Amino acid sequence: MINVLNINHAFGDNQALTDISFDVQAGEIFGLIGPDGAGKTTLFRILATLLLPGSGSATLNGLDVVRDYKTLRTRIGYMPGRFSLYQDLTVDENLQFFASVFGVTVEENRHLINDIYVQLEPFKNRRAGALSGGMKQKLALCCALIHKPQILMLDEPGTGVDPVSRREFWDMLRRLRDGGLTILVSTPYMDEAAWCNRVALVQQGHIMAIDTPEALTAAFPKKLFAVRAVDKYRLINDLRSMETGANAYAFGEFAHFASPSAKIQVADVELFLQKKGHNGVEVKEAEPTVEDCFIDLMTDDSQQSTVDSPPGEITLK
Amino acid sequence: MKVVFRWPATASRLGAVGTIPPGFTRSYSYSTASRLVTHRLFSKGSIYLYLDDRPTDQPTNRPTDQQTNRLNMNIIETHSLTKKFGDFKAVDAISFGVEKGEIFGFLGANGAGKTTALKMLIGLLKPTGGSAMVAGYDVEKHPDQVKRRIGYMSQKFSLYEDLTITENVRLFGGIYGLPTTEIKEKTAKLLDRLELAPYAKRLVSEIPLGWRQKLAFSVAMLHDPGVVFLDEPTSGVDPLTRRQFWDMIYEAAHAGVTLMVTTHYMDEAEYCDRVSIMVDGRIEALDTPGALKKQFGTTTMDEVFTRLARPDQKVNHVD
Amino acid sequence: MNRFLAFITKEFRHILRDRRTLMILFGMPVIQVLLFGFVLNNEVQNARVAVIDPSPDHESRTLTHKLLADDIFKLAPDITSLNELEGAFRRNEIKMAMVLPHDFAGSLAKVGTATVQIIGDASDPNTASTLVQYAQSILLNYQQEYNSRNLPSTATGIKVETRMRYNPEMKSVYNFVPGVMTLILMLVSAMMTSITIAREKEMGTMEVLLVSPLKPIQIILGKTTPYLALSFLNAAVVVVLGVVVFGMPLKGSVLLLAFESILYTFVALSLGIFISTKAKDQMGAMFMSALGLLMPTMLLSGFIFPRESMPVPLQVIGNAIPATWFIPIVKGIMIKGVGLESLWKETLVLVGMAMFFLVLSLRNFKDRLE
Repeated sequence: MINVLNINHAFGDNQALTDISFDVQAGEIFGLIGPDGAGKTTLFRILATLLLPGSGSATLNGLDVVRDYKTLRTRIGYMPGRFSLYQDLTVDENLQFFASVFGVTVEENRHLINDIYVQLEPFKNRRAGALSGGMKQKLALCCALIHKPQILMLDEPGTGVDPVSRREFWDMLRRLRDGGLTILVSTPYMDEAAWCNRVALVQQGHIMAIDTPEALTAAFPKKLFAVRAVDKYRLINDLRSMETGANAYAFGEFAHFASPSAKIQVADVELFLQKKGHNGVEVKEAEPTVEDCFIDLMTDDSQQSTVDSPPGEITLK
Repeated sequence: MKVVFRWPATASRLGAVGTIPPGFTRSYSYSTASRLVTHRLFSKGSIYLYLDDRPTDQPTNRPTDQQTNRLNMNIIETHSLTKKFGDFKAVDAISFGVEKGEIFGFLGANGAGKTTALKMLIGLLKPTGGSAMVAGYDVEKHPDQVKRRIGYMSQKFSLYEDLTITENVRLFGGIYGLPTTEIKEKTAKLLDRLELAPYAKRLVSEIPLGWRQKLAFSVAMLHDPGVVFLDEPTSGVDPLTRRQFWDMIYEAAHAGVTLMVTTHYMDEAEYCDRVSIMVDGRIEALDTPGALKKQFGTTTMDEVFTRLARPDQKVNHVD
Repeated sequence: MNRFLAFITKEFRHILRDRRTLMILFGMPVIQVLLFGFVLNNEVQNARVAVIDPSPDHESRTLTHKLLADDIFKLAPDITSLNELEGAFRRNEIKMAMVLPHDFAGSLAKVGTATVQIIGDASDPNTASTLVQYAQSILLNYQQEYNSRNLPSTATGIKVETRMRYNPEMKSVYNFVPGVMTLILMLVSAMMTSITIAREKEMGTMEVLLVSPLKPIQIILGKTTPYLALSFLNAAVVVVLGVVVFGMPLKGSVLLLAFESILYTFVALSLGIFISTKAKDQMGAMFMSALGLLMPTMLLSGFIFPRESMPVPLQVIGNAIPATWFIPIVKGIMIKGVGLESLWKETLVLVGMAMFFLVLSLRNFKDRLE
């Protein structure tokens, strides 16, 4: 449904996207996962026909983003990163406006958004600017869906929205996918990867990995432990010193300890920490998450300076 | 009238307080760090009682000031802090205390009132009711004193993007009235620690978000404040830099700085010593992450949050 | 058509719901007209004047009487000698002084001449020159009268009479009503459209509009039509206020005035769109229209400062400003009552400008993000 081939894009000296290629199948949710500044928005704008790629090509449903952009624009539903609705128009006025812009009426396509609209209905005469973050997001989704697009593109829909609203939003996306819609979504929240069929992990304009979330975590190259102790600050520092190439970082109520050697056992870690004088030590093997993979890929690539670092001549030295 | 109860150290849970006299509302603060548990019962009027369960041999920090009714132990302390906008109660009589050196998570859905509460605590917004003490001063009566003693960093603005790194550091040093020699010294130390020295002359807009946030945090700490308020400091930052940021938070807490953090990342809620969750202007839960999970019978803070923010709805698990 | 209507409805909602926009749209014309009318008045009234008359006689009294006959001058009676003048000017007690010679009537009768000195306070040059001009015309008048009284045989034939045509009382309202109209139309059309387009860019809604099947021309028309209507309404308000409150004549064809206003509005609107294609945010649009459009319109078009007294380069620049051509049109129609037969040149220039800027802005309006 979406084919992206070797897209490069630069703003002046700043290389925003480097060799981006991926395919999205019809009827799947494809997630672009990466922090702010990874190039997600630039890529979205290229795919939404708003920006000409520096080089490379992309087609959506067989339509080229450069050549066929006019036709393409009627086929996609696009929700930009910022809250892109008219704050001074009411919920219904926004919806009506975007429907008529695409030459449809809200009534004829009501069934597409009914699920979401029922939650908005109590506020239908409220100005969009006065809605909560979660509600704004739902309204933006309705507006992007009202013209019955074949592909839905959502750029960071979850930013600034509380976790509960975010989860509700993902439930909606999955229902839309089950109805046959192809969805491309970007997010800085690693845990949202779990809701996607496939994800691309993006950092500094590169795609570090593309796969299903399950395959990504299965390919995690290190042995992972969840470790707990009373003094978390000291715990993390001590774990880092245990082994070269090991990584330790806070992860929820535990600290995650990723060890490059497969031989190391729970008991080894426990012993090491006890020697260091930690209290309340608890160690268990842990299943890696997409976030662990991301951190691992980032640290792995640190020699090639994909780690978040300022661009310029100093990095090269 | 003021009554002070002492309570055995073992009876540190709230249930030990016993029955509350009619007409009294109850509030309590609890901290693992010093094993200090303060239970307070206070009525709508000026009479209030509190229970102090610290060992009796320790000098008690009895409230010395009749007017302010404060406990010197807590570096942040609010009593029925309220903010109304018209008829709407954005913050509805919240009472809590934060200990020195504590990492206090301040959570809530959008519109639950956390930003309003935060703004009152940093002296930017006048409370309509109740009181709050921060770093030993009443935020309503002495907002300037409070501002001098706290650090603040928000996701939206913390540094001037069109100034260089050094210029930003110097500027904020100057704003907080540090002497020139000290600013110079601290700037060098700070750049060194963040490994930013080679980029000292770069504009802030040229450095990545994660670095910027780490720099902003260090700048907020420049004047050695006792309390630092962090408003969604890691929003949009990559997972690795987010961890590095939390390393800095732990380090600061270790050095005795109190940190109050808001976040939308639920895993970060777990990193806090204690977490409060606001719903519709009230604090609906306040405890350690572990105790909260136990209380709600869940395994993650995410679920605790969902239970509180959407009580009418079951948690949907990922398949 | 449906799309277009929807767009315009939305645009009107934006306008009606934003108090600041409403203020600029409807408060501004009224406030400007009233301000220019009542405060920034070129006409001088009750200027304090000292008359130094060392030997009052019949003739000197007649002259003084004439000077003070209108409301223009008011006598400062305390100042009677030359050495008091300096101090009086410094303390700002007087704006002008008339110094008569010793034995005014005597020298006139014996020698045939007498020197009357008029001293103005040129620290305020505009007022000073206006006052001195008034005084001179009064003196001239007196001179002729004196001649006709005393030398009937020789000088009856020469009689100078100055008459200001079209605006005999030199009322400034004749100047500021067309000026304010020009300014308001520029403000509403160019500045407001450029700002509202820039706002959509800033808010991110432009992205959604661009991705929609709307064509750029539809977006532009949708954005400008409401402002075209509002500009027209504003022009009408200014004219009505000028006529009703300040007694400005409207001699020519109202229809022609309406047509010319719409033409000028078109120029301003296309300028506004052009600015919005260049400006990234509302702030940028505001600066560009304030510096690039409003300032020149006020300063170089002849609205406030006469173009004839400008250095040639500025006059040339002034020619590129639409207002330079529109102000004479409005004045022509309202005051002189002339028609297209004498305004065709200015009208053609405006038509040319409208075409030029419309094409320019359409070509610059991208249907992608830069």
